[in-house]
Amino acid sequence: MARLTLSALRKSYGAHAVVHGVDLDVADREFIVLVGPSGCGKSTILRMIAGLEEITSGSIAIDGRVVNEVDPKDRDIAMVFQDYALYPHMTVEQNMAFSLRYRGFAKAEIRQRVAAAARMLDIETLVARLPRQLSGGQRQRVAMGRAIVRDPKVFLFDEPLSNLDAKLRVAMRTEIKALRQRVPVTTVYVTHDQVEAMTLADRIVVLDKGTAQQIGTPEEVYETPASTFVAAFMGAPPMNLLPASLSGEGAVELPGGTRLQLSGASSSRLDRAPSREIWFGVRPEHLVPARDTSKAEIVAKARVVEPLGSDTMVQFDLGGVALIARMPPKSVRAPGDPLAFTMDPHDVHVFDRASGRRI
Amino acid sequence: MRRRSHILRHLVMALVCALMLIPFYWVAKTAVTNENIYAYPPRILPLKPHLYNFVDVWYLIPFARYFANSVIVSLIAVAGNIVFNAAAGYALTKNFAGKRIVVLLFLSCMLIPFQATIIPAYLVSARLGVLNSYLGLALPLLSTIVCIFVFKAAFEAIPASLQQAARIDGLGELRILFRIMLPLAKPAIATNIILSFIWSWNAFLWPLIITRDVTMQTLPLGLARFLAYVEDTTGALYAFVCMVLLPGIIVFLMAQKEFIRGLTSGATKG
Amino acid sequence: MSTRAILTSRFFVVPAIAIATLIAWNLYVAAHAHGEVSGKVVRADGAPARGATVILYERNLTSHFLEKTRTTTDAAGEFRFKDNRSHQIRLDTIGPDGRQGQPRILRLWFAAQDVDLRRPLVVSPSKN
Ligand SMILES: Nc1ncnc2c1ncn2[C@@H]1O[C@H](COP(=O)(O)OP(=O)(O)OP(=O)(O)O)[C@@H](O)[C@H]1O
Ligand SMILES: [Mg+2]
Repeated sequence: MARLTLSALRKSYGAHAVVHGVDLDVADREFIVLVGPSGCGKSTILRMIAGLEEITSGSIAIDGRVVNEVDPKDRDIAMVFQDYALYPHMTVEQNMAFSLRYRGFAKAEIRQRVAAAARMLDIETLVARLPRQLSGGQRQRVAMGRAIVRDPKVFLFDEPLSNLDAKLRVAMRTEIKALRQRVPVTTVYVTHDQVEAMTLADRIVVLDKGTAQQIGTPEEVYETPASTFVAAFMGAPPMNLLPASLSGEGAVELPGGTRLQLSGASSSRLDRAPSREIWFGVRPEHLVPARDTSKAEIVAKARVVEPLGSDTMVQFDLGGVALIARMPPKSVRAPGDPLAFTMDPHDVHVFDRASGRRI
Repeated sequence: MRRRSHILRHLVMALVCALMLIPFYWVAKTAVTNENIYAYPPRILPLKPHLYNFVDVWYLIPFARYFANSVIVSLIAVAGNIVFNAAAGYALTKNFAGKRIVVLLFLSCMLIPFQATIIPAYLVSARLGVLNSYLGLALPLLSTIVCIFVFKAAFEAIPASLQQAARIDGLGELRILFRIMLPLAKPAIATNIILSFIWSWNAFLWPLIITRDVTMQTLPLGLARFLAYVEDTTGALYAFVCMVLLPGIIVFLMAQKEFIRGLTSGATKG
Repeated sequence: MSTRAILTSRFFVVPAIAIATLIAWNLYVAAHAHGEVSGKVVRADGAPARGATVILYERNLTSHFLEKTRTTTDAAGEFRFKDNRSHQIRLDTIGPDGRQGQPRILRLWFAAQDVDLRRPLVVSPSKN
């Protein structure tokens, strides 16, 4: 049972500001994912929550109690580190029991908790081994076991899967998701992998250069990105962004002279645009092949064709801007093939050119 | 081709080792004979070797007493070195105000020879009232700057996340040091044991100054005393030298594997 | 570190062996350090020398031998000292006729070690 509240959280190293005021309210049992490119301050925020890093200003509260000045050990949090941080000179069992020993738990209770966690993570046969005798995935489980035995108020994960190979990462991701249903604890999870973020999160915090660009459910973040940064960061391949201009009455002029008429809600939004200069965004899967070329909004020639099996990714140029489209398999075969797309006005995004904010 | 150069290399190394060991051999050889070392032509192999010179040493001076004194002083020095150097080395891995100055001070103090600090050290010891005591004998050897840096380097090689995990697990700094850092810095510990043991075992000037009673003297002082009794270069003197050297050699052999790793760690990653 | 790991590490084993050896040696010494020096004095022809004087010298720090005690041999030519405290002694013999025999220097493994001379001391034959 724990709520976690970050208010106007800031961090600077000397004059160098790294986190610029993050506000976040994590509900009890909510799984929050902090996602963003390398160096955006994800780990720093997590470490401030853990108490490993001094807070420059703002506050962190767990269950309403401000913990800015509280020692890490008294915050009742458990952390899983990117390199697992297992004690190399202790067996798996000792690693998992270590923190409980220093928290005055009875021996029987410790044994029982460790056994339960080992069973849950399927590492019962490994308890007598040293960390160096484990594979990466097994170490990862032990690291999670060490956090689970504590039964903390908040779990913190710092890129726990980034040291695993691609296959194992997917497997562990599924496992974390399953584990989460059995151990529903308030969690803050840091990753730079947007797929992890989408699949695991109740809510995602997209960070860029120390500011939260958007906080929302995976659907919100994906479907209504708050800025060009979020739009480009979430989704693979990323959203196509084109410099475009508004020409009134809900019409958008794309590079290469294409005009696009937006209707209904989206067109009325456009009236609020601070300037006529915009970024026009459309996801690769929202470029729909047109049955009738004369009604197509975009006509071009394929430049690069990448068949993936389930889809075919096609790159093409539009007025000097490279775009990418996700098409049904085998619909385009070779560079130079003619392309024609239509777009659903509900699936396009318009951002202010200067600020990058969504209109 | 590779094999041959391998053998050749080993031969050369064996030869160099043998050259280095000749003085030791000569000492050992003289210790088991009564041969005059200036005898000409020198005899390579000992003639009628015997161990009675060692017995003579044992009874001519209070060897057991000196030995015990040396052992006690060295144990105090080794324990002090591990505790104090580890603590100082650990502190130096942290950021704190004035750290640069502290490091600079340490480095510059390394340039000062011990002889130059003997008078202040004596005065301090006198003030503390530890003249002519084991603690006093060990006092200037309780911590060594070089060894502080050995620990610092070893601790810096340990991932910071281990410390952070320990902090979250509820350990204070001292416990982090003794439960997490030290067990992972075994080569540094071995280096500390060997160096501090040898330094305190061989210390001559400081024990000479600070001891007043014959019963508080250590082996190197005993050696000097022995020289006063036995002017001729008899086997007993060399036997005594062997007896002084032996514990140091044993400690080195015990800790050498970690010792070598400790001296070279940091040079290469991993 | 487990107790087992500590017990099997060099840093425990080597000192333990050293201490065990030391204790064993001291027990041996304690059991054999009564200061008894015994032996036999014979004449050049091998007959036991009765009434020969045997003098025990102990070595001191300045490498000189000082007389400690003397005794005379019995009918079988045997003698026995019970109070040697030194680790290096010299035995001199004087035959019943007053002629000196070859002195013998004994180096012992520890002070007051009990020794029984295997080779008898020899004094010159008496004139009769
Ligand atoms: N001790 C420090 N002193 C100065 N700057 C630091 C320090 N630690 C981190 N930074 C800076 O803070 C910024 C954020 O670091 P942080 O570790 O939070 O990034 P991150 O989002 O976790 O990145 P990654 O995905 O690579 O782990 C970086 O620009 C980094 O250079
Ligand atoms: Mg990070």
